Amino acid sequence: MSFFDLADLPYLQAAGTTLDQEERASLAVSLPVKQNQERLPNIALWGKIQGVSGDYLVAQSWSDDAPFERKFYYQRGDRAQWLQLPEVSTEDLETFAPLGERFKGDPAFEITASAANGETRTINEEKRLAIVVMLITYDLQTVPRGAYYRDSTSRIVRNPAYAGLSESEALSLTNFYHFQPNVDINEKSISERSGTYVESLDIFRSLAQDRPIETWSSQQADNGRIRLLRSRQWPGYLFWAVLGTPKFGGLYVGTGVRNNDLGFMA
Amino acid sequence: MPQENEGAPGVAEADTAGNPYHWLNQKDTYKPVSERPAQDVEFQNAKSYLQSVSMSSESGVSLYEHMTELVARLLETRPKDALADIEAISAQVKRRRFPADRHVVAQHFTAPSATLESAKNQIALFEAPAADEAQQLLLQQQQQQLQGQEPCEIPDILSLAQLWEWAGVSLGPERTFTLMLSIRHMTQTKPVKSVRFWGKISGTKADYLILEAELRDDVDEADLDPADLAAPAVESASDAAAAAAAAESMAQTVEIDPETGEPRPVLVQVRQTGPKPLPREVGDGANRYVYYVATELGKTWLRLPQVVPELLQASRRIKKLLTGDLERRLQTFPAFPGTEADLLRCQIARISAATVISPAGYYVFDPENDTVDEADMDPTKIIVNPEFETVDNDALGQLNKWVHHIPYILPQGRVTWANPAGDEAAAQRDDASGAEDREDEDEEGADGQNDPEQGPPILSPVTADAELPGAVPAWSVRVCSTLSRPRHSPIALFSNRWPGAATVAYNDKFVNIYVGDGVKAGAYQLPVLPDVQNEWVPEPTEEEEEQAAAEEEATDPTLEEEKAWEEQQRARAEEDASENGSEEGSDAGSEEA
Repeated sequence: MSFFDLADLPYLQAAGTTLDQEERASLAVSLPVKQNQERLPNIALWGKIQGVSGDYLVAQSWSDDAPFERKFYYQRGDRAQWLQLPEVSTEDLETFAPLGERFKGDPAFEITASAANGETRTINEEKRLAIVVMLITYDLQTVPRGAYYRDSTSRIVRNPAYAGLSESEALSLTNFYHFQPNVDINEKSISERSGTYVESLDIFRSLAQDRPIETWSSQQADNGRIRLLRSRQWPGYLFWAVLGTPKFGGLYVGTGVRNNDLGFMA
Repeated sequence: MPQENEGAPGVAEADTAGNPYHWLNQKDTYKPVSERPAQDVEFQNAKSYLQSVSMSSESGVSLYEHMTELVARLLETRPKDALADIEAISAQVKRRRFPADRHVVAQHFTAPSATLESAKNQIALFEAPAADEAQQLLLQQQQQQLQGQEPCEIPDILSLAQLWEWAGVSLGPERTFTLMLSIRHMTQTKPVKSVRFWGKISGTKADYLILEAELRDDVDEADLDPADLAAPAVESASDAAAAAAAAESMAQTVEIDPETGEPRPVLVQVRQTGPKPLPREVGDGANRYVYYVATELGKTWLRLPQVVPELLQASRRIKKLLTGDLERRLQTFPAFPGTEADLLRCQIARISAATVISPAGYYVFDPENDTVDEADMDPTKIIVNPEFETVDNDALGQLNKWVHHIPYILPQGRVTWANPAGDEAAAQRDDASGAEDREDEDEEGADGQNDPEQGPPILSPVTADAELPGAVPAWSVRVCSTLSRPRHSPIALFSNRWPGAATVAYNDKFVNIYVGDGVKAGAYQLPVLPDVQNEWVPEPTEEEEEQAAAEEEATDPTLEEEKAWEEQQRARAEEDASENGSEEGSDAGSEEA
């Protein structure tokens, strides 16, 4: 996963979205300060979740040794403060993941839902934010093929030799991968394991396997220099890969509501 | 030198020459090498091994060459963590040595590049007009002014783009500039009075950039260049109806074949059942503006077809993603009998009606409109208020200071209500509301199509907009910058009903923009299917009725009833036997035996 950097703003704008001046100015200052306070190896903007009365800005922190272990921080109103999102339990995830309501914009707002075993659970919106952020992170994080590889000690590491996708490679969704841990290569079909298959590079599930097929829409932008992928499952997620260069990245700017109507819309 | 080396092992052999079984029961001992080849020889041997091209290698490159190149590459590029990256760099060096000479191939064949294509499209926008052309244009403009035509109004997109940014919308500064050029170019070629950048709707394969244009007063939609029209090949619902009507009139005048002199065979007419198509609004209501779209800057702006009321109704029943292909036929349930261009146009109309807003008082009802006969009065006619006073930012943050200035579209798909029964019926009823028309009215009343549909009038405040399910208000208001002084911070209004629609206001400026997927918020609900119709049952004949009566379920007979029945049977059998005995006795006799 390549993480959002303010210098990536032009790619975001290619899709019609942007961060406003205040957000840009404050992020450039508040993120390094937070990184230093918490002694974080890295920190980057994760995205924005639009609530009814206010927006949450979400940032993530990770270490290069363990790219899947994340800490999330959010901001609501106060541009200088980043608060850590709470841990999410499996029960909470199961209970509150299907919720389709908009975020109110108030972290203390209480949400009640009934769990699978019949009892009702109540959480505050801060926790729901954590749940949705986890879901989106798992479902949507994308990397182009070759950007990461599994080295001889089986770790997943950034590939320094990745030079970007070519125009023809970018046309196919098979060259974009879900950045998810624990993928069993043995589950790949024979056809996937033929042709250009490389055991150290083809270590993730490809986006082309997502169903329905319209889950992702892929289009060129900026006179064909950029390939933009939009998720239709979670409207608001944008992934970009700059062709011929190792630059790529993604950001979520949306309401945090999953689109369950995709079957009708495709 | 090599001869000397070969001599060395010979010395050791000499000690054990006498005993052929010297190896028996001997322990292994390491005998240090007494003499090694000269260092440079060992080096030469190793080098020759590395340099030997192994037989299996198809690349024709030795390990030695590869390592030389690898080390050279490392020293040239000085990677930060060379040890970690060594495998990757080695692989890269190998790949570069791919045998086919790609450069030669590339010289002869270049795949069409999308970058080049769109650059070629755009280059025309940047061409400086030739001197005489510029003069001509100036003359043309002067002429237009003399004729009383005002030059086309284009908003200052570059400054408005700064406002969009506060709503999280931006095309990027370069693209905004190109857009500005593209709009200017478009206004020179099309007869439009004013143009506004409406927004962008993203499709699965390409995005639509959308311009909202108002035609000049002397131009009618019919005068427009048909080549501009998006997806012209497809007939929409009412076109089909018109075609059917034309065919009907043709059927009455029998056509004569000029060659044979005989009348041509008339095709079988399909009788039009179903309701009559509603009249379209022309240059007014939902079709007041003309929309031009392009999937990419530099491409020709294509005109979208007009809103057809039936299609607009259909578009409300479906939730569909657009693809970026205007001519695509939609496969939907319930059916949408049009192309993507029609759907796009309907969505634009719906989004405009719901989300295009302005500060209260900016537009007022046209005062000239009052003088006209009330029947002809257009309730949607508004003009920019010449006496409008700029509202403070503080006040703009209040929702009740905002009004819709695009009229509400009725469920019917029109802004002004049209009687589906047709104009004549409506006129009749207006003329004579007496007893003779009662019957007619009752009939229509039963259909429920008689009552004019009503909606909020134009310039009604946005506070009247209905809430979304889950107690979500229709609009969210934000002060864009929480840190700057309220006077200096723009105000943004986001529509929650149509996510992506935003309005930004800053003192005297305000701008409406839509950047989104073109779908309404909320979970989609398939329209309820009508009740299953009853199967056709034929009227039962008399025989069948009798049979049905006979087959009616009976209660079990009691013992007495059974005995009585047996008695009866026996009596009948005896009777039969006596009759049969007289006629065909032999047969009856054998049966009884």
